[in-house]
Amino acid sequence: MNKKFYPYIFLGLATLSLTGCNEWLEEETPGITRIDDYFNTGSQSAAENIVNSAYTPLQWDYGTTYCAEWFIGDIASDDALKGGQNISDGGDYYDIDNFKVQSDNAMLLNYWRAQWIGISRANLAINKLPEMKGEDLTDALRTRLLAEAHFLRAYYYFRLVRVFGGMPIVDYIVDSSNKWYPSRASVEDCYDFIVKDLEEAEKGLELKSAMGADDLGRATKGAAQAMLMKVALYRKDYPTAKSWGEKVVGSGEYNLFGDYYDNFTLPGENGIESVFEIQYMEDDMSDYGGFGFTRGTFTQILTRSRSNNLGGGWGFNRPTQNLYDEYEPADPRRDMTILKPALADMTNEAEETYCGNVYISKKNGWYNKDNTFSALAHHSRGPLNNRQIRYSDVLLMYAEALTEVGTPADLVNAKNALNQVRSRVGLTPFPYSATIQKATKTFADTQADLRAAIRHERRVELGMEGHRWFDLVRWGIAKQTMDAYIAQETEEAQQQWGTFVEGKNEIFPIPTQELQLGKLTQNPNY
Amino acid sequence: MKQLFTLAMLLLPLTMVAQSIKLQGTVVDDQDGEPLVGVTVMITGTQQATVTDLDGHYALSASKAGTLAFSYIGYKAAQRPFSKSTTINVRMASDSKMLDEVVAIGYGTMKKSDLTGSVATVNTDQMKKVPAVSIDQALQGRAAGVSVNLNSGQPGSGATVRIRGIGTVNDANPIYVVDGVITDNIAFLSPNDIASMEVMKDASSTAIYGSRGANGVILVTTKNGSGSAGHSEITYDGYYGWQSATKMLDIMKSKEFLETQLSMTGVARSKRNYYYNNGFNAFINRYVTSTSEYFPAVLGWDATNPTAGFDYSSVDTDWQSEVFRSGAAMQNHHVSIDGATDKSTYSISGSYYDQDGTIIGSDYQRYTLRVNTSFQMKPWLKVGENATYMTSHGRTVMNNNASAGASIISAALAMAPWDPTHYPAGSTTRKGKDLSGQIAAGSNFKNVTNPFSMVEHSHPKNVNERFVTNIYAEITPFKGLTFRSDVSADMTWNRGRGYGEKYQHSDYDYSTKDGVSSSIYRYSSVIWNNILTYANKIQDHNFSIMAGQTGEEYNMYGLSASGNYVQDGSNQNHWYINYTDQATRLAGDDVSRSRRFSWLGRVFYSYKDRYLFTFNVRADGTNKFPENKWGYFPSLALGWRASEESFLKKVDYLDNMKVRFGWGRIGNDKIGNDAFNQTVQATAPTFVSYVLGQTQALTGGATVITWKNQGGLWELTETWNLGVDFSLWNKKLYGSIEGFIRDTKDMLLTVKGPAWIGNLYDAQANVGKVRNKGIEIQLGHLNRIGQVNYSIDANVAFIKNELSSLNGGDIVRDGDGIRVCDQGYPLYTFMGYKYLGVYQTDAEAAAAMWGYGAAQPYHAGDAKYEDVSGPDGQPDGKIDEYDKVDIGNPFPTVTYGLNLTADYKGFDFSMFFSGQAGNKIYNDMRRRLEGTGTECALADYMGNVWHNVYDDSGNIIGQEGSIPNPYNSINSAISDRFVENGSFLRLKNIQLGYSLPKSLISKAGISRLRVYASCSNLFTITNYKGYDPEVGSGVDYGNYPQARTFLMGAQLTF
Repeated sequence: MNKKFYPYIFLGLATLSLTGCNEWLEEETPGITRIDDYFNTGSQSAAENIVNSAYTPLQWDYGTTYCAEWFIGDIASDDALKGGQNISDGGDYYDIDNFKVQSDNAMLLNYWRAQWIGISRANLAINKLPEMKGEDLTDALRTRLLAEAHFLRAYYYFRLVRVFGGMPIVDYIVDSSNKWYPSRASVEDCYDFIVKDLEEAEKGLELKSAMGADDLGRATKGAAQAMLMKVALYRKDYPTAKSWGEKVVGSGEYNLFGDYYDNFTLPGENGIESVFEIQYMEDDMSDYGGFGFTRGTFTQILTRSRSNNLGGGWGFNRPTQNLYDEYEPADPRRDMTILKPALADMTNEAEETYCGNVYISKKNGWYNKDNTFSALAHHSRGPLNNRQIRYSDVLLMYAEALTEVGTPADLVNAKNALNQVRSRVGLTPFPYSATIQKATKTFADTQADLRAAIRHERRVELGMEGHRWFDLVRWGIAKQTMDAYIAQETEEAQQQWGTFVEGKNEIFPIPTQELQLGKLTQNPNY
Repeated sequence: MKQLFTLAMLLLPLTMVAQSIKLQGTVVDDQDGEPLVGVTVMITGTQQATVTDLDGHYALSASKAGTLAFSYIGYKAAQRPFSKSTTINVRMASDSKMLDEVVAIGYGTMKKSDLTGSVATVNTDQMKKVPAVSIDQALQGRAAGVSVNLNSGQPGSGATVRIRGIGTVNDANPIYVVDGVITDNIAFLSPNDIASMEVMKDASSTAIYGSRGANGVILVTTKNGSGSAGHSEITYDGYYGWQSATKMLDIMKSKEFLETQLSMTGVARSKRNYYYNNGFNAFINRYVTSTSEYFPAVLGWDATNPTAGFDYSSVDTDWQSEVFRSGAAMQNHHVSIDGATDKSTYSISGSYYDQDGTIIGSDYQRYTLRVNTSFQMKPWLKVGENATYMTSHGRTVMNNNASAGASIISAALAMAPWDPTHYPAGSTTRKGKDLSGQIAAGSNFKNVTNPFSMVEHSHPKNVNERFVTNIYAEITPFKGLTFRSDVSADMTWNRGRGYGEKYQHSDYDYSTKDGVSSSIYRYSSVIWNNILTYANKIQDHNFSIMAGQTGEEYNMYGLSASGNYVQDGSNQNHWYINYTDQATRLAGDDVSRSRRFSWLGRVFYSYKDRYLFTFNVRADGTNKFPENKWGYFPSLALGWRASEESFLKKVDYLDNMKVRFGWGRIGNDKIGNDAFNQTVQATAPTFVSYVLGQTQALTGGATVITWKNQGGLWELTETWNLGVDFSLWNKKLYGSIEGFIRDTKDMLLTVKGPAWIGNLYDAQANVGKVRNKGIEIQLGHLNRIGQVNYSIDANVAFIKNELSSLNGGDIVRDGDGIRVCDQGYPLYTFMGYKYLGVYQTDAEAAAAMWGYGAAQPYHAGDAKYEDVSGPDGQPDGKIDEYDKVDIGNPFPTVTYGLNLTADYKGFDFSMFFSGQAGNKIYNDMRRRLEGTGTECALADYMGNVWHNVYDDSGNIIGQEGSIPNPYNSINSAISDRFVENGSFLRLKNIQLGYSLPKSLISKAGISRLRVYASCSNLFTITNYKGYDPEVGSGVDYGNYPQARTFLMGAQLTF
């Protein structure tokens, strides 16, 4: 062949090799799973995984700031002071503590985002699971998983509504900017939506006793029923609350622990008294970071005493003297809720006193009953589950519903429920008389006193478990209670307080960023 | 055998042709008779050529009679016929109108006089005078419109290069094209290996790079043997130097520091009184170390033995001088062998670079090897390769980070001056635990890691390797037509391995277990280019056409693992995963890929060398945008060489004048590979997993982490450019002036949506629009007075940047929320309050902040911020989001450089200034130094902080001060109180060299020997109060400052 042709052969080869470039460009990138592939070629575990990830945001008590719910439930109430190293340690919590919250509060923003991420994940499951293909995916499992997703969506909504008021109803996947701007629904509409989800969940969920050992921690029928009762109480729909209460109590699935303190230990997790818990594990491998990196909880390090002799934590969420005084002298729960360090236990008294307060939240700090403590395997994470609904809570809610319905038979049942809680810790049954708030208080056998006794009992039984603020608000006594309490606080603490404004401070402001992003209207007076 | 022969050809550059005619002579300048060095002397019609030496001398052999052609840039070519052995001396006349220098353009070359785009050729010889690990650092101040920020003095760290401002919030780095290989990073090249650099600034010149050209293109050509047969040389180039930090911050000493802390309002009076009644040590004992087991017992704590314990009052550690090293060494050695035979050229080099940091725990070493060769195999076939192998290792310290647990500088400033770096021998705690020699615990701010424990307890062993190669074949079937095919590969291996010790110095400064981490990452980018070029000249019509295609694949794959509890971790040979406890091991891999396929073309046409026209177009296909796979990037440029017109030819003093106009549209695709692919994340343990079951085990999960936006496409950048180049009075004045408008459209921004989308990370969408406009001026002057040659080169650029629209995109907030990208402002503007001083009374504060009512948070001693506006546009007596205004931005409006050179006989001298003005720095370091003192050192002027005034018996009788009370957090809000002017003028380099006379060195066979002494960063004129005004991000958390370097060097050629 003539050598002159060599160059043209090169040219020809090069050109040939260039065809088919579009296919080459379209080949799927390695290391990713496209959404359509996931749902078209699923499996049993793929279906489970979609729902599992909807539980994950429950764990998130850390975003860019620590956003555990008790920063609201306890600290905003008369039960606890913010704590920490000093007044300026954790400005966002300081503001919540002192009615100075503004809409740029980072803790509220984190809290808001975590709940919505949970709702979005539940929505993905609810919308995609019914059509998911998967050879080994049984209808029974699909039904239960869907019910779990409904439960979770309702749970996140409930957490949002009682903190921020009426929310937009988002029951679809927000996969396009056309769906970005739903408007706010009323609180009542939200509760309707929550109830619908919970009823759906209640039908599909299984009893706790029917769950396999590996599934402990998932939502159960009892949890859905308890939530339905709780929501009904928030709506003051007492007959409905009563009937759901009957279901839980009558199910025989739950009972009180013999020892109250078992509720706050590792061995007591998911025990007989447990209706629903946020699960955490001991994980010394956790990375330090925000949303998504948590397998343990920050609550232990946040609430433990700053003293090295008592665990060396950060000293947040300090029980108040007012809570301390709420306990009857004979009530063993006081010293299981509030740790009062001796001077000898303090490594640095100045750093361990906050506004004159030295108390430590014992239940959250993973202390043993005798105030000894377990070392944290990870320097800032603890393994202790967050008890969201305990059976004693159920009993007290049931008692409350019965009291409000108020027939003589209901009142008898109400007293029974109340007295179950009291007798477990060796206290005299209602009606009784005892020293409360340093004065003798007598509860007579009337509906009004029964109501008061149940409220008192809720405070002490569930102290430092994140319920108090929400109870005060739903009972409509937040203003009067807080004003009276503040008047008794130390002078240092009093100096910090802003003013509780009725019609404003019952709920919190919608975070500025989300207000703008979602084109929402702000809550009144913020 | 054949290979051996090739090798022999390479190493023994001998002409293998029968020679009979011997030619020699000297070439000198026509005007002054000075010898001309480097003139190409060629026998026309052959490959035989040589260049003149330092004395202007040449020697050449020919086989038959012919013509000698002499050519030299800036001189008129000369030709001399010969027929026998003879001496031909030539006087060459300078021709400043001749600018036929050939410069590299994308996928080809072009005569400089034909250029229509905005291309700056930088003087690499001058750049190399600044000691730099990588040439991008040395670009600072060298070309108008190219701003270079050195970011950090960390050895081995790269520079931030911005060409014509910043057009995008995404990756705004230019690309580098090294001998045709497209890369993002040229740290693999030793600056000594670089022959020339061209900076392509406007779209008309970069459009040929399509989607990669938006941020500008820097073309780098490495050295190859010069084209004359028989020429060869060995060159050594090296220096050794000493570096020191240039500035320390003025901070308080031990006693004053404590007393100032105690005088602040918000500190209990009892605490202060205790100090004055009981003394320094007693105070430390009572309030600082207490009974803690991490600190030595304080002198006098034991009443029965008052002389026992550690005397804190005698310690006054200067933490800055403890962590900054002075006289840190740096050295660079480079050896190269260059040459050519009649059919090949070659260049082989090796270099070693070694730099210690001026901060403890930082250093960098690099070795490079490079081989460039080319062979004219057949008359129609040329092949060649460029290959570089680089390996580097070094230790990096975190810097510019506010966390005292992470950055050496932050930690050093957070340690108390009364803490020693290490506890002296004999130190024990109250409980008798021995602390002798142990690294001290931070006693003032407890959440600090002692900088020495950062350095001493972790042992990183990181090695980077990079191999960049390019192999090409050029085929010329007939004159004018060239087909070039090249394959390039850019491969990087990063090996990270580290051992962390178990230790405990305090509650915060500890590691509960030792551990090993290990990772290997491999990055590869392979490009195949096929380019066809045809050029011809028909009478007055000169044209060239180029068409081509390229395909490109980028791959990344990495494996990383870690484990704890190392068996006998004191043994370095055990710092591997296999020696860790199996139960603690974690491993993960990481993969990504992107592909690109492109068509490209160019038409160049000139009429009478006067009217120039260039059209470029490129089509890029990518896998990054599933819905918009193809992008099209055209450009057009026109040039007019006015000086060639007859009416201007008469103008004597006008050497050259050219007017250029260009327009082009290009893209930027530097975004994540799957930014627009909707995916499910199923990777435990983060984000999606949950804890379930009796055993509380981690259970897998899967969900959508980011709901992607639809319809993603390339960012588009459109540039308009108008420029004029000129040269007057025989180069007594030359330069160029250019104006440009550069619009970035469809900028990919992270768009934050409402929370119910459920995104953990926000998705991107094309929403932003940025406009940069500016003027660039480059001026030069070349002259000779007597025996002194001198030159002045100056460049200056004025650039204005604005984010003109967001189109529904969210405001981008960076880091601490200090830098904000918002519509109508320059990118990364600092948004904050206007600081007006300190409220002296509560009444004054209450009157100004009326909007808060009773709950108002401002009191005497608090910062007075301007109440600019409120929700309804009127001041509302509250300080909130509505009061945040533009308080500056980190981008200079003016950047400039000035280079002066002079030589006299053997001496040469140069001085190079660079600077910028108009930029602001948010000095967050100063925010900390003006704090409560509980977390950081205090600036020496903090006696003026708002503090209590006491009477003799320790009672508070008043308060005063001009610095806001740091105890109220509203006082450290983002405001212009911490914004400082970042303008500076820096003497970047000053150098004096001496070339030894040839008569002296030629006996030793040396053709050139130059020695020099140089100083970098000798002084900086600035008002900035921090360490160094060169802060990359504009927010200074304690940045690693540039060092002042003195060095001595030598250049030696055989």
